[in-house]
Amino acid sequence: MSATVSRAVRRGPALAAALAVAAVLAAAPADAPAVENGGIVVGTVVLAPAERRGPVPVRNQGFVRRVPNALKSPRALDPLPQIVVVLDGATPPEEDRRPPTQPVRYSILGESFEFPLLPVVVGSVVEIRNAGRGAPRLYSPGAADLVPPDPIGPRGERKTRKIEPALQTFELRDRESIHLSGRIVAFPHRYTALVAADGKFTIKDVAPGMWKVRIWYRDGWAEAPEEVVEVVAKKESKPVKVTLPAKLVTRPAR
Amino acid sequence: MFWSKIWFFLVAVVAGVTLTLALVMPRPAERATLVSETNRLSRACVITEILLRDFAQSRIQLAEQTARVTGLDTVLLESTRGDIVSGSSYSTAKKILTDEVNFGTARKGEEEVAYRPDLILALDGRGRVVARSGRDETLYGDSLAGYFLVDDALDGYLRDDLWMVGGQLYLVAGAPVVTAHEPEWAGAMVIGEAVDKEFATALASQLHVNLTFYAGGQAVAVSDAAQIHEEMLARAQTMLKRPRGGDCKATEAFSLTSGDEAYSVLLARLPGEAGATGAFYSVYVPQEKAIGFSGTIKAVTKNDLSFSHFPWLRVAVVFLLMIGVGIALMIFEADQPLRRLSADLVLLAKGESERLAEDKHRGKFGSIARSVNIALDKLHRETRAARRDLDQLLGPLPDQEAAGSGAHPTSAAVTDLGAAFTPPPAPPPPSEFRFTDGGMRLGGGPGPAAGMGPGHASAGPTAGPAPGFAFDASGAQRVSPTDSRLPSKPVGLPDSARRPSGQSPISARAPTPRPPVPRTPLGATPPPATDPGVGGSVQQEDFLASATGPGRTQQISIEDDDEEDTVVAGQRAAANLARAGGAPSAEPDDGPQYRAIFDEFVALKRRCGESTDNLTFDRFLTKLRANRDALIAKHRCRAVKFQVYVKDGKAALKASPVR
Repeated sequence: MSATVSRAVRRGPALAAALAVAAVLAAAPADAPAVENGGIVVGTVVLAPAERRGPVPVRNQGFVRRVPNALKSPRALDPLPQIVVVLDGATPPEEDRRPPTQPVRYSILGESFEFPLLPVVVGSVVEIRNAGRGAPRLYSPGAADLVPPDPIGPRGERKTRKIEPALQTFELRDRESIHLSGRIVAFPHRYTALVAADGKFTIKDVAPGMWKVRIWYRDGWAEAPEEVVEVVAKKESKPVKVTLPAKLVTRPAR
Repeated sequence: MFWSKIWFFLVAVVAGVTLTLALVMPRPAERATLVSETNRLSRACVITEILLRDFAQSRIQLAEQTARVTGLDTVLLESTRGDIVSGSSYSTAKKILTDEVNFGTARKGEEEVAYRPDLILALDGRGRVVARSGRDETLYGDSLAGYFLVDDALDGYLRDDLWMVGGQLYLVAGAPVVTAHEPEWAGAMVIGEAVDKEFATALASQLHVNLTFYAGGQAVAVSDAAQIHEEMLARAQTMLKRPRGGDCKATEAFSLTSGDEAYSVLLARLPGEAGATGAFYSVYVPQEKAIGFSGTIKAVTKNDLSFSHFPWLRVAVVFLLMIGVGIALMIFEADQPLRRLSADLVLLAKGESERLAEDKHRGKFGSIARSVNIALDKLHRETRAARRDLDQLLGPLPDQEAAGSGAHPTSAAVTDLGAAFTPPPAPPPPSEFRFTDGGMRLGGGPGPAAGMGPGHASAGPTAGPAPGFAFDASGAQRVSPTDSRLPSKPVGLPDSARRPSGQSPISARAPTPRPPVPRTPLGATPPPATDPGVGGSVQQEDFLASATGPGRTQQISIEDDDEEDTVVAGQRAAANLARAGGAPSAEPDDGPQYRAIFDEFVALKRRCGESTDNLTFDRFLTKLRANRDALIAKHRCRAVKFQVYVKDGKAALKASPVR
């Protein structure tokens, strides 16, 4: 998963920003009512120095152990692709807590999902589209009825059932390969955002008020200092800077 | 024979154990073969893993070398910066992979040929394929990001992995591509080797085993055509549930059959992504067929029986030892005792010994000797019994010593029947004899015999006359009527040799056979004239009755030989009694002599107060002849002497052989 995050980082800042925007748009209900008085939350997730984060974890091994390249030091662990920034501490309006009427698309690009972690509003339906050349047979280890078990051919699509309950991670895996993996997590509202490769994030149309910025990492809330941001109608908030510790520790959502 | 039996038992036990070992031996050998096969499989499995590791290392090095090919870093870096992989990038990269990269050579049989990997992938920094060689080499732009190896290579690591792509198993290796001028991540190179039949065969040939690779639930590379894959996949499910590591040593070999062929199989999991989805390989060899005992015998070669491989000397020593001990025991326990017993029996048959020496023989041979002795004893007892019967019939024989003395009449009495009427010189009577009258000698006494002429009674007996027993001077024997005992002088056939020299030649000649004059006791009723044809049967009964009187034979002491002979004689006499045979042909005129005995016997019976009604001379004569013949035949004597005497108040007869 961290490799996917690294890959997203490698795709460049522009792509990362596009992904973040797309994620936010995907998480937002399509028919959500326009928030005329909504504000914008911007910020940056700052990682610990590379040498403190350590190497990318070994996910599998062949006949011999991997060895670092001699020309350049290997990249350090990059958790950003698996981080979701979530606003908490206030009550969003009803329309921002409704799931979108249209399925949220989650694409398979080659041998990986486009995002390692997909945040959705609880009750949303996810449409999985296969943009690669293979025909994965997806399944969810914790929820057998989440996704149809039949193979998804190239350009094929499968819809999941409603993603609920909130704050639970659903993993999607391929029965034919162990590297194809993605996660879907549902939140009570749409005030969430993926983080770009450079650590920046943006959450639009946020109801005015004081919001706490929280970090969701893979399967739970990351133990990181909470930042509070004041959202003013039709204005961009002050940039929020969330500094993550070198070693991310998560705790269960409940 | 005890030790012989023990030895036979031991030999039988040894033979049984040897046969059992011979029959059982193939099974341990087969098990040993199976264990050897298992060890061989384990070694082959480990070596396979080692070779695959070496191959992986070589591929990693090859990927790293390829990643450093000049120009490739630039192309990949440009592609990474673009949104898509351009055609120009593909063409450039493709040209570099085709023309610029030298992958070295590989040995194919006996030749070194140019080597080219089955899969070559040039990936940009996003994991997209810029160029590929081998499988789908015209395609580009697709993303392989997500593969652990690709992600690790893009992160700057060298490593290997196993992929399952389109139903084909690949051994792959990846290396990052770093720009030459400034160290920047440009992409990655992936080199792959297809695991196919050629690969499996080449690897198996090095190990001298069969090898099959399984991935995706099917056999993807086999080194031979054994159809054991379904069973193999089924057995692999158990292995796949165990923790990873050391399968070659942790898993146990098992047997699978395909048709009439059985295989010893060992499974081991493959690493990498393919291994995580159940890929494994199997090393197997055909099992040696169980050939059993007969097959083992048939498999013996001439070399197996050579002196260098077979302990002939020890076998020969053991064999000779067994034979030698057996023969020695047979000689000691069978042959020698049998020889001793045979020698003893020969001595017994020759009469040089009377009995078998039981103490000299052991075991069964001693039992045989004892049995023979028991039989001899029984025969002797029967002889005594028969002799007693004869004695009861005819009276006891005279003492052997007396009969064998020089003065005893023997053959002369037989040849000269007339001498019966001549008082022969009195032989020494048996010790049990008593003569009531010294002049009363019939057939052996010095005195005149009853019925003989006058002057024959001059010689007195050794014993004094019994009281009341008289003998008249005229030659007629007188017996005192008051004396219940008859003179004990035996009445024998006359023998000139026994006659004393001073005796009367007239009496010695006795040419005319005439009835002997019975010795009539004084005052006793003279014996009536007997009619041989009257009352024969009655007389015989009476005669037998008198002969079976109690206590008659006990006074006679006869030696063993005589006893035996008497028994035979008695038996024959009894037989002759039935057939009433005639006199021997040599003595057809012995009637007068026996007449005298008869008369004496009748007279004695009358004196004893016994009835003589049923006693006839003919039957008496027949009986005496038969008994005489029997005694002569048995004792090979020349004559038989009969004596009339009284025992327990009854008249009795006694027969004695004269040699």
